[in-house]
Amino acid sequence: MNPRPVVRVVALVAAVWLLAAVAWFVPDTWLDGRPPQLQSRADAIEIALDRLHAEAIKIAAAALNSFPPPLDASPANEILLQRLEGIGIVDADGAYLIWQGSPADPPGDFNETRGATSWIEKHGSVSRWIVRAGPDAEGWLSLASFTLRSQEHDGGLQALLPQPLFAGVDVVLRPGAEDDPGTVAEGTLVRTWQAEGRSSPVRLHLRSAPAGHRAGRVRGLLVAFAVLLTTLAVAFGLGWRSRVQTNAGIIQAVGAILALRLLISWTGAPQWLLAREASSASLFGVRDFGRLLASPADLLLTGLAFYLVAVALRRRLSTPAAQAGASARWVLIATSVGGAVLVGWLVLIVARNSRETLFDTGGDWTTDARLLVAAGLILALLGVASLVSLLLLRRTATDPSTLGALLPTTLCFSVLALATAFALQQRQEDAQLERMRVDLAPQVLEQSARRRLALQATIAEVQRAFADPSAAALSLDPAEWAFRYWIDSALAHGGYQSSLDFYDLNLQPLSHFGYDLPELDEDVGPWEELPADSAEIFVEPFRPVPSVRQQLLHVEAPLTRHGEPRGVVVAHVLDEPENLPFLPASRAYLAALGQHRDDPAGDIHYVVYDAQGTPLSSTLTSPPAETGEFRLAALSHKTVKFRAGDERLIGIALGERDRLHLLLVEDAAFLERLAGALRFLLTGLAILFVVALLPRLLRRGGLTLIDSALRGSFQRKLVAAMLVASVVPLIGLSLILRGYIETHAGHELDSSAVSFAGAAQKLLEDATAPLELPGERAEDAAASAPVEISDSFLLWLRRVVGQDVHVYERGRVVASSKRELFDAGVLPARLDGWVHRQVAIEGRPSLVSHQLLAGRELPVAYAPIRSVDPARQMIVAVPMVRAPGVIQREVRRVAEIILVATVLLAALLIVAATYLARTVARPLRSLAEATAQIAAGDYDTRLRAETRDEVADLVRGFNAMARSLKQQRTTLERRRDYIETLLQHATMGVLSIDSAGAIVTLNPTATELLSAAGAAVEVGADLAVAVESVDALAGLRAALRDGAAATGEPVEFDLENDTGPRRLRMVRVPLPGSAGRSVGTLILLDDVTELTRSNQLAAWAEMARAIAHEIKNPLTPIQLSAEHLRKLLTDRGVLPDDKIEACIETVIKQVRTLYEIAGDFSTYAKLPVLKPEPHDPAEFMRETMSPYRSSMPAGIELVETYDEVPKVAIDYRVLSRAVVNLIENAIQAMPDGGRLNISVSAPNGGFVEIGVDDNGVGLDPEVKRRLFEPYFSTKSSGTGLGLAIALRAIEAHQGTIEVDSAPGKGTRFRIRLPALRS
Amino acid sequence: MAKIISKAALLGLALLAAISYGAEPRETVDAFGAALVEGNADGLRAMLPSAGKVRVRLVRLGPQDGALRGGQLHAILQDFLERGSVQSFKLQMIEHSSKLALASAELGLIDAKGTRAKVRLHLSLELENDRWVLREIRESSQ
Repeated sequence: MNPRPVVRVVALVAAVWLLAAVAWFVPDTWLDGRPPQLQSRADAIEIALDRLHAEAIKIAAAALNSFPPPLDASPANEILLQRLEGIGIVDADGAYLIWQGSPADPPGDFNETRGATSWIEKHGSVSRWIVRAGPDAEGWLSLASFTLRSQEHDGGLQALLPQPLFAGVDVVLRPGAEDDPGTVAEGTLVRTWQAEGRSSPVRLHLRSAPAGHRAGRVRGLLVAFAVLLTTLAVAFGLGWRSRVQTNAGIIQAVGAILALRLLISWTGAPQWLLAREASSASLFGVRDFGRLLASPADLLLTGLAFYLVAVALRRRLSTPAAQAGASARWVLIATSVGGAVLVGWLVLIVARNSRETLFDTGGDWTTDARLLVAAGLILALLGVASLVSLLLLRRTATDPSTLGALLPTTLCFSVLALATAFALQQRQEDAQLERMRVDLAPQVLEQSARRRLALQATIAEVQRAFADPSAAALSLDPAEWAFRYWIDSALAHGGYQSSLDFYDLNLQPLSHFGYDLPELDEDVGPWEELPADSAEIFVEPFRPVPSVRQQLLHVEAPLTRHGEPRGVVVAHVLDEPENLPFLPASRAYLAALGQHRDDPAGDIHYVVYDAQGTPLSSTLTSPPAETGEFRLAALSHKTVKFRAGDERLIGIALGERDRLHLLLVEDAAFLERLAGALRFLLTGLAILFVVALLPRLLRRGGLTLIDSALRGSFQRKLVAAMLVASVVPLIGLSLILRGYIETHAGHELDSSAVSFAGAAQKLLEDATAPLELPGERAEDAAASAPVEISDSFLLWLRRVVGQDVHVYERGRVVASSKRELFDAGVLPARLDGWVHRQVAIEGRPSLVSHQLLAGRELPVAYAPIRSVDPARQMIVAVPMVRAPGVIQREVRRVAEIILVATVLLAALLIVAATYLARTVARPLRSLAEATAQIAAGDYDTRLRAETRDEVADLVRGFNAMARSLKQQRTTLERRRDYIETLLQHATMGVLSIDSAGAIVTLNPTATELLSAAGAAVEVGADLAVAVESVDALAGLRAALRDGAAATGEPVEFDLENDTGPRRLRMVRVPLPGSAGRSVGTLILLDDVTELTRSNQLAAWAEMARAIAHEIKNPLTPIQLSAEHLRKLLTDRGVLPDDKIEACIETVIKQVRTLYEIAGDFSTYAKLPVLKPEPHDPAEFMRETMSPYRSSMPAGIELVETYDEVPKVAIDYRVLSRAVVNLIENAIQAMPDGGRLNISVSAPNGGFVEIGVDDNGVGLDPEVKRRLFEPYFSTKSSGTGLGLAIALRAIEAHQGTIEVDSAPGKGTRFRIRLPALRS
Repeated sequence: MAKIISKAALLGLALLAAISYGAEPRETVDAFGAALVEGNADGLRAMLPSAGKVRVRLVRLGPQDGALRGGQLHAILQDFLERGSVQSFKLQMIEHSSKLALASAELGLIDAKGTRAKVRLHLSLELENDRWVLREIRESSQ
C-alpha cells in the first residue's frame, strides 16, 4: 500500500474517533438540537388531520357516484386505502344496501346530521374511523371505515399522518373531548381537533421528547462508525496475507483480531448499526461474556474472529518453513484440539440460550437472524475445519494454497457441521423435555390452584382499577368493560377459558366477555352478601351442551370508588383438565385476542387418565392405552416415547394420587433431523463458498483461473457438465415438486373446508326447516319446531362438525360459536361484500375465501342456508382453524423428505459424476501420458485395456499405433544410419542447404575439402557467407553462381589448399518439396584431382608409347644406313676420312640416343609385367648400393642404415631401376658434395620404408608438386621420365612414395612397400 | 443530590430484597422493579430461574415474544436498560399461593426510540429452591 493512502486512512479514522470523543464530552443539548415549538407542531398536526379527513370523505363520497367506487391510490390517500376495512351504501335506517369489504356498522347517530362527518369508535381490541358522505338525491348515504388500531395495524390515528410531524415530540392523539384525570403530564400542550362540520373530537397531547436520547444516539452512532472504519482499515489496509507468514506477523494478526473483537464488544457497535433482531438477545444472547455472545450479530462476529484467527494460524503453519518443522505439527494439533473444544462449548451455549425455534427443523431459519446464529457457529466450525484439514494436507503433501486444498476442509467441515446440527437438535429435544418438567409440569399438577389464583388476581385487579382515582375505568363505555378488563387480566394472560361480567348497582348486566365460555344465565348478589375485601370462590356445574358436564369456578365481588358502590364484577373460569393455557386448541383464538401463546417448541399434547387408566381428557385423536408403563415412567422420571397414529410422540408422565398426566410433543423423525442437519450443512457450504472461494473468484484473474482449471482438465469438465446436467434439473424438479405439494395441500384444505361447510349447512338446514309429518299431533309439532339459530346452538354444532361455525343474516353475523371474536372486534361483524354477493345473491353453492386471523391466513368456507326465508340471505361460515396446522405439518414433512432426497441424490450424483468422470478420464489421461512418453522417444510404451468397451478399442488402437511407430522408427533409424554411414564414408563431399542457404547436411569429406581451403563450415552456417571471404574458394563461389550448375550439370573448379591445387567437380541438385517448391539444394563435391592426373598419365603413357613406336621404326634403318654408309665409304676408300667418320659416328650416336629415349618412353608407357618375389629390403638395398660404394663422386658421403625388416614382394629389377633413379637424382642434387642417407626401416608392422635422403639443393614447391609428372625436368638433358617411371614402378608394387623437400634443405624420399606377413 | 439519595435508597432496597429472597414474593417483585429503575441489569440475575424458561411478551421493553432462558432474558433487559430507562415502577397487585405468585405493576419508561410510555407488567413467579423466580413476564399498554 502506498504511504499516502495509508496516511489518509489513518487520518480519517483518527478524525472520526476524535469526533466521537468530542461528542461524549459536549452537553446533551448540543446534540439534541433545538426543541421543536409545540404550538407550531400542533398547528401542523391539525392541518394534516384536516387533509386526512377530507381525503377520507372523498373516498366515502366516491361510492355515491358509482359502486364499486373507483379507488385510485395517490400519495394523499394511499395510507387510507391500506387501512380501508370496507365501504358501502346505507339507507336512512342504517341498513347496508350494497357494500364492499367489511365496513363497520353505522354509528347510532349516523343520520342525525347532514353533510360529511366522521366518528372514531373503539370496539373490543379494534378502533376504527368511520366516515360518512351524503345523503345523495335518493337519501342514501355512504359509509367507509378505516382501521386505526387492530391486531394487524398499530399506531392509531397517528400512524395515518406524515411521520416527520412527530420528530422530537411525544405526541398522543386520543379520541374524546376531555382527558382522564391525572393523565396530562406537566409541560404538555393540549388541544382538541375537530373537523369542519361534525366529527369525533380528538385530543392532542404534545410534549417535548426526553432530553438526551438523541444525543445518546448520535454518540452511539459516531462510536459505531469509528469502530466500523477502524475495522475496515485494519482488515484491508495492512496486508495480512503476507504479514501472517512470520511469527511476529501472526502475533500481530491474532492480536489485531482479538483487539477489534473486544473493541466492537465494548462499544456495542452492532446495536447501533444493525436491525434489532440481529443485535439483541431476542433470538440468542447471553451477557456472561461481555457482549461477545450478546446477540446473533455478536455471535457472528465472535465466530468470524475465531475463523480469522484459525485462518491466520493456518497460513502461518502452511509456510514451507513451518511445514518442514516438527514443532509446527504439535502447534497445529494443539490449536485444532483447543479450537474444537472451544467450538463445542460455544455450541452448548448457543443451544442453551436460544429460542427453541433456532434450529427447528420446520422453520425457515435461513431467512432471519437465525441465519446469523448459524453463520456464527458455521464460521467457528470452519475455523476448526481449516486447522484439522491442514493436518490432512500435511500428510498428503498438498499445497494448502491451492483450490484442491479446499476439499479436505470441506470434508472436515461437513463432518463437524452434521455432528453440530445433530447435537443442537438433541439439545433442543432436551430443552423441550426440561421445559415440560420445569415449566409445564407445575401447571398441570397445580392447575386448579393456579386457575383459582388467576381468578383471584383478576378480581383484585378489577377492584383496584375501579378504586384507583387516576384510572380511566369509568371513562370507558360500560359495554366495553368486560373485554377491556378481561383482556388485561390474569385469566387472559394465563390463556384460560374464562369470562368476565359486570353488573350495575341494580345487578343488571352491563357487559359480558367470555373466552370460550358462553354468557351464563345466573343471578348475582344480593348486594349485601357480597364480600367487601376478599372474594370467595364457588364451584358450580356447567353444561355447555346437554351431554357434557363440567364445572366452573365462580367468583363475584363488589366494585367501589371512593368508598361508594359502583357495581359488581363476576368472573368464571372452566375448572377442567383441558383448560390449560399451553394446549394448542385455543392458540389461534388467543393469538387473535392479542394473547400470543404460540409455543415454539411445537404443539404440546396432553392426556389425563383416571385411576383406572381411562382417558379423561386428551388432545390426541386416539390416546394410547395406559398399561402401567406410563405410571412407571412417572415414578422413575423417565421419558416416554410412543407412536399415536402417524405421529411419533415424546414426553413425560406425571403421577397424581388418582390421575396420570402425559405431556407430549411431536418427536422429530430421523428424516426431519437429517433435513435440519442438511440445511445447516448447506448453509455452511454456502458460507464456505463465500469466505473461501468467492474472494479468489473476485480477485483479478480469478474467473480465468477457474475457467482454466475447468478447461485444463477433461475430468473436471466432465464432472461440471454432468453436474449441470443432473443436479440443476434435480433441484428444479424438487422445487417444482415442493410448490406442487404446497398448492395441492392448499386445494385439499379448501376442499376440506367446503366439506365442513357442507356438513354444517345440512345440519343447519335440517334444524331450521319446519318438520311437517302427516297426522302429527299439535304437541308433537311444537316439539319438532324449527330451531332458532343462536350461539348455543352453534356451540353444539361446533361439537358435531369439529370446527367453529358462524352464521350471517343479510351480511351481518347473527350467531357464532366464537362470539368473543366478534365482541373483541377481531372478526368483522359484517361479511365481506364480495362473499355475500357470490353466495347470497348470485347463488353459488359454496365458496372458499381466506381470512386473516392473528397474522395467519385461514381458509373459510361459506354456504347458503336454504331452509329459511331467502330474503334473510343466511350464510354459514366455517373457518378452518385447526386443520391448517396439521396440513402444514404434513407439507413440512414432505418438504423435509424432498429436501433430504434432493440433497442425498445431489450428493450421490456428485459422487457418481466424479467416479464416472474419473473412469472416463483416467484412460484418456493414461493415453495422454503414454502419448507424451512416445513423443519423448519411449516407443515401448504400452497401455493395458481394463475395460471391454470403446475405451478398450482405443487402447488397442493406441498400442498398435505404438508398435507401428516403433517399427517405422527402427526402419528410419536404420536408413538414417545407413545414409549417415554413406555420408561419413563417401569420398565425395556431400552437403545440403535449405532454401535460405543454411547448411543442413555436411559430411566429413565436404567438411575436409572446404575446411582445408579455410572456410568455416558447419551445420546451420550460411554456405554463401562461409565461402564469401575465402580466396581459396573463389572457384566454388563462381560455381555456386553458375546457372548451369543449378540444373544438375557438373561444374569443375580448382581449389587451393595446403596440399596444393585440387580439382573439384560440383553437382547441384535441387531438392523438391511439397507443392513443387524447392526445400533446398543438394551439393555434391568430388575431388577429381587424382582422376585428372591419372587421365593425364594415361594420355602421356599413350603418347610415350606412340612416340617410342614412331621413333623406333626409322632408327634401325637410319642406324643400318649409317653403318652401311661407313662400310661403303670404307670399301670405296673414302674412308678413313675424319670428318666423314665424325659425321657417321654422330648419326649412329644420335640414333643410339634416340633408342634410349624411345626406350624410356616405351618403359614409361608400358610397365613391365612384374615378377615379384620375396626379398629382404635391406639386402636389396645393399646390393643396389654396391656399385656406388666404390664409385661415389667426390665430396659425397654415403651413409647406409638398414634395420631388420620384414621381406617385401618385389620385382627386383624394376624396383632397383626406380631406386637407382632416386639415388642418381640425389647425387645430382649435391653438385658440391653432401651426405646421402640410405635407410631401410619398418615404422609399423604393415609397411617397410626405404629412405633416400640428401642434403643437396632441395626443391622449390612448384618443382616438388610436379616432380613426378612425366616430361618434367629441371635438367637440360634427359627425358623427364625418370621419377615418373619410378613412381609407376612403386605404385605397381602397391607402394607409395613421398617427397619432403625445401630449397636449401635437401630432399627426402620415402618409399613405402607393403610388408609380407610372416 | 436528592436524585442520588433516592437512587441509593432504591439500590439498597434491591439489595435487601435480594438478600431476603424466599421470604415473600412481593419482595422479589419490589427488587425486580428497583433493579429496573436503577438500570442495574445484574440485579435482575437473582430472580431469574436456573432451570426451565421464562415466558416473555414484551413490547416496549423488548420487543420480544417467546420462551427464554434466564440468561437470555437478562441480556434482553440489559439491552433495554442500555438504550432506554425505567422512570418508575409501581406495584399494583400481587396475589400468591405457596408456589405461585401473580403480580401486575405500572412502569413509566422511555423506550429505545426515546418515547415516553406507561406500560403494565404482569409477572408470574414460582418458587425455585426456596427463592421466587420469574416464570412469566408480559407487557401490556395502559
